[in-house]
Amino acid sequence: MITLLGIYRPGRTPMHLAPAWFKMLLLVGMSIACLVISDPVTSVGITAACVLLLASTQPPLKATVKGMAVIVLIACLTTVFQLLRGDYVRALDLAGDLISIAALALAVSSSTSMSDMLELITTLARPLRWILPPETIGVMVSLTLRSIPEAARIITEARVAARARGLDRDMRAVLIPSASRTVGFALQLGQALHARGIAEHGRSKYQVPEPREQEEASAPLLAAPPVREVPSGETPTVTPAGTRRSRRERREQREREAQQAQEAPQPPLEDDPTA
Amino acid sequence: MFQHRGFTAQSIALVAVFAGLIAASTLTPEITLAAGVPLSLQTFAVVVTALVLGPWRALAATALYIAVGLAGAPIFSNGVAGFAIFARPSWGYLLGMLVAAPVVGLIAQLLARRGSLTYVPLLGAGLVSIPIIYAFGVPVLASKLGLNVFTLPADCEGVGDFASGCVTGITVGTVPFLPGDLLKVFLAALVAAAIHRAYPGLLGAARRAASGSVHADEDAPEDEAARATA
Repeated sequence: MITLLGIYRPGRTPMHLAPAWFKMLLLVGMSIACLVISDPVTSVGITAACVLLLASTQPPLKATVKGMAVIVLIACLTTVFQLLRGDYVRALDLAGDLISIAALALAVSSSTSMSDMLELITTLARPLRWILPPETIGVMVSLTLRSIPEAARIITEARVAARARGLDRDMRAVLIPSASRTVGFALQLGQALHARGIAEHGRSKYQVPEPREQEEASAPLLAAPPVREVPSGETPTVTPAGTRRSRRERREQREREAQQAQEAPQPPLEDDPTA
Repeated sequence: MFQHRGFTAQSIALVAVFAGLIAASTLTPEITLAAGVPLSLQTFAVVVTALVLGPWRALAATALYIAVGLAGAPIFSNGVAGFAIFARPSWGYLLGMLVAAPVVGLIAQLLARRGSLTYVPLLGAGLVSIPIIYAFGVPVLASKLGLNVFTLPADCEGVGDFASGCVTGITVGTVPFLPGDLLKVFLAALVAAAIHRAYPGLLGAARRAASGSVHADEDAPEDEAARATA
């Protein structure tokens, strides 16, 4: 019933082999060029080039004709409008713009797979990674694609149920059940995600550390001999204090430690040969 | 406020499913009016999303719908897919929806804070979306069709004189859609009020989750309780 394939067909034409960002850039550049250029001859030339490019990607015939027919119809209406005003240059320019951008966009769509385009969009959303980590975007996109047929199924079922009750004309009888069932579906999905720990990267970053520190503190106590406790207990107290002191104080402390080190190792050295 | 630490699995599921709902609403039967702008349940779905989810999640859902559509899924109105939407005169309305969703959602969240999520206040919030959507849709439509937005050409006698080309962008872009859009917003407020009755705490839970970053310890059990009841 519902296809999410679009008009993309795999192939090996030059447009298929071009990278997605290049095709995007081409589309954006061409749109700006169409807006800026209002010379009818150039406009017709660009239109012809775009239509040829569309033909070169070998798109599926039926969907392409359907997509272009609407645009051509709109272009004809616009042309008639402008011709009635007697402005034939503007008529040609506007019609050319409409058709060329539509053809180029269809060419891009028919030669770029959805995963490539989504990858490009995720890359473009990189500056948002403080708000939305890329993994979350990936999860949301795949969940959206999955929930489109689900939502369509819910709407269809609500419509069938309303018709069975003889409430076919009542929009409320269709829309309220479908919307509330959609929310229920979303909440169940959220619980399922939460139970599996999916898409909770950000949350875990701020909540997990405390128990983990406790685990790390308790685990060495069980595993390692008590000798390890001494350095692990001392290091946190020493380092922050050392960084805060002035240079002179640190030098004094170093000298003091050096003196102690000179005095201290001697007894064990003397003891060792005797023992 | 909306750090990603407040972005729970429940929010992710709601955002994704409502983006799917917006997409599915365009696949239902629809009518194409003059100038090729289709009338579908899309506006209804966007307004319901905003009224139910609040500002940030509604913005995310609408943006996600547009992103998936641009990536090549035929989920724009009339089954348009990918960047071909920018060739249609109606893409300005899509941009308007992206702007209107957070604004309407913000009003809905303020209503939730005051505890008045009933039909009439929600209707007021939803009606805000119409001028915003038209403010983006009409100029794009007018420029695509080569019309002036406000002013008529100098040699015109009356407004709406179609045959001599005397028609403004406002007339073409507003008048045919206004009755349908008003009807859709009325329905959306009705549906949103029903959803807030059925699932109380949808907007309140969002507020708790967002402020949970500040006092994580105090709100944590309450948050869990809200999730369990929801």
